[in-house]
Amino acid sequence: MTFARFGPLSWCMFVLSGLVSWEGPVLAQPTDIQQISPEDQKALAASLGQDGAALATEPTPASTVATGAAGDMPNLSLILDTAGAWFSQAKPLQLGGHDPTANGFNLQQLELHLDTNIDPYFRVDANLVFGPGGFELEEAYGSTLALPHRLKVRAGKFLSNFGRMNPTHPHAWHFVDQPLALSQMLGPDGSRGLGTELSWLAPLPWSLELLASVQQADEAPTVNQPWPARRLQDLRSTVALKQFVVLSENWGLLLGFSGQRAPIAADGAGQSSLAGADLHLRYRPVADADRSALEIQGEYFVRQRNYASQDVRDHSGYAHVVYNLNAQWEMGVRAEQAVYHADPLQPTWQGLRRRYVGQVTWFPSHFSRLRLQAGVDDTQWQGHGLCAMLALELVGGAHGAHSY
Amino acid sequence: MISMRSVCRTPGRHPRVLLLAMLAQMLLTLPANAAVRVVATLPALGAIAREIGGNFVQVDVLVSPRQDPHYADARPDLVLTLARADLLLVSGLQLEAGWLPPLQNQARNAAILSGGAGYFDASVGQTLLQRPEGKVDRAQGDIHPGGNPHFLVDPRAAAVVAQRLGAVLARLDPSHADQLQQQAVALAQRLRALAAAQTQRFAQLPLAKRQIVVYHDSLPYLADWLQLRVVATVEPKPGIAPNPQQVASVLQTLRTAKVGVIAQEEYYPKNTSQTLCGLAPARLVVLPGGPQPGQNFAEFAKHAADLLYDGLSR
Repeated sequence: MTFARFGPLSWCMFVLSGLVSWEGPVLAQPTDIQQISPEDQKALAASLGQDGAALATEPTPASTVATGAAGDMPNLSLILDTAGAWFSQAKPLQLGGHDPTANGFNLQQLELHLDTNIDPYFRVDANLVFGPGGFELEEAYGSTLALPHRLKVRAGKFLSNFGRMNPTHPHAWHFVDQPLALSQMLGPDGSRGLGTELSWLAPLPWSLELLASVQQADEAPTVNQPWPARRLQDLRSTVALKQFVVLSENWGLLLGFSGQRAPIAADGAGQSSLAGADLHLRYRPVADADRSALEIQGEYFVRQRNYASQDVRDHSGYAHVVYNLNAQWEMGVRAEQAVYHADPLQPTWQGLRRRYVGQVTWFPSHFSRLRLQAGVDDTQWQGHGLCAMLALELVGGAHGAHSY
Repeated sequence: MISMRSVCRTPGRHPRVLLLAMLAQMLLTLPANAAVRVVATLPALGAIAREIGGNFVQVDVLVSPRQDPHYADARPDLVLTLARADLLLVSGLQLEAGWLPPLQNQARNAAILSGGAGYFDASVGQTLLQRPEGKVDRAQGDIHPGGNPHFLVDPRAAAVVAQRLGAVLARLDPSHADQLQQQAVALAQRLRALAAAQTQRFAQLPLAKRQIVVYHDSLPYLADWLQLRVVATVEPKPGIAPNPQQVASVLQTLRTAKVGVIAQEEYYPKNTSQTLCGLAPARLVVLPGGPQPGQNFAEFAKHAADLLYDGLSR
């Protein structure tokens, strides 16, 4: 909560004050413009301006329209996630947009991913998803490649960089369904929307990235209707700090803190403030030919909502341990806890909910996996439920590698 | 966090934010290092750059020689390394496709993007083997559409890299251009001489001994250099784990063709190969995955050739 209140403005001040005091990048650039005399620089700048003006008046020849030879086609990949599921309860409380929700066969998603560099300055990424609810444009954003001062801007529709799991896709998950905490705090399909994001990679001895974004709130978990931005509070603002520490050649630790403010639908009077902390500890012995790995990950969210003259505070989180025996076998367990308060937005849910699941996965190759998952779900308002799932994932085409 | 919150909300305590900014500024304006900052994905590329550049370069290597270069983690600290780089050396042919692209995209460094002034693809100018013809798909395994990317065991390929790299380093550091070019040419000559000497040495082995089984299809350039024949792979297809049928077939091949050696880099699993060697019988030759820290490319290549010669000549 304190983090959410810390607010984007303060972060921007911190980033800006650093930038203002910057006397140039640490890098020794091969050609330093300072080595060229001011007269020469002026002459060069003038000629560049003249050439630019000349180009602007010339008609664009048809040949400059890119036709794209086979070598520069976008990377294109197709990812299918489908699962058979069984639930002991008639109405299982599966909340995630890609979760198996019904007894029998479930289509989690068919994702078509495209990405390509546009020019030396921009790239574009798009995820088109065909799911149980039909087609949706999950993400489509452009990002800069070469801004100075280690800045990066994204614009378009994207998953907010809140916490560890929200910006990722089911393909990168270690469990068949998404944690309750994400569905509860960030929405069934995660926090995403049209907007823009600025991020900065700090020139420190360890990896530290600061991110700030503003997005339309239409798809926020608390707003499911057109929500024009008449003022700043109508937008969803997210800030995040992510840092990574190399503990040894084999151990890495990622620590993140995120904050988000979003409007709540209806009369526009409501505001939701969300704070989150995430931890990801990974052991990957680089010299192990079997490619074994162990990861421990957890996220915890605290939220305060002011709505209909009430202050409602809730919190939830998850933790998982995943062990890759080798390149073919993986197993993992996840424990989750969510606390719901009777509030105007979810009046029927009240009390504590806990869910424990375990999974075993077999990877016939790097591009296919079969995952068996079973769990027990315990809610204070609906009692015990059991579930079992068998999920198949297939990845075809040139799918871009994932971030850490 | 609570104290930071109070900083934000109390105007009188804003200096603390400024203090943080000043600390950051101090770190930003550390004295610049004049050496060209080279980042190599593979130890072999790093060793070549060090040998040419000497004190004029500062080399970071992203993957350990003990690590399979197909499957490195795209760790955020590597983003930082790439953000600082003047020159990125890659093997190319999609060898690093599983982890390098997100690092390049996140690094905010235009120079090291594909096609940038500081991007060096070592596969350019190489005589490539196993370029697939016709349509490529993954039913054939995890094959590389541009050709087999494991050329950095062959000193002749390293010589091509050295000569091209000399020209690139000379462009990035014009004040030492002549020295860098000379070092590169001399290194290329040494590597070609080593290659020729080892080819002659292996040619003295009887033809029946000059055949090997490999784990992954990663040694065609080594086989081409040393005039060996690769008669089988333990993996049924590249990147697909061995299955009982394939292993039985490899055992049969080992016995009927009287193959004396299974060769593989240290980063591939050894259990199946060891069992096959015990049953055939044959010898398992585990090759280093690249130059060790402090080792130059010629020492690495000579060591690999020695290990193999020792295994084949027994």
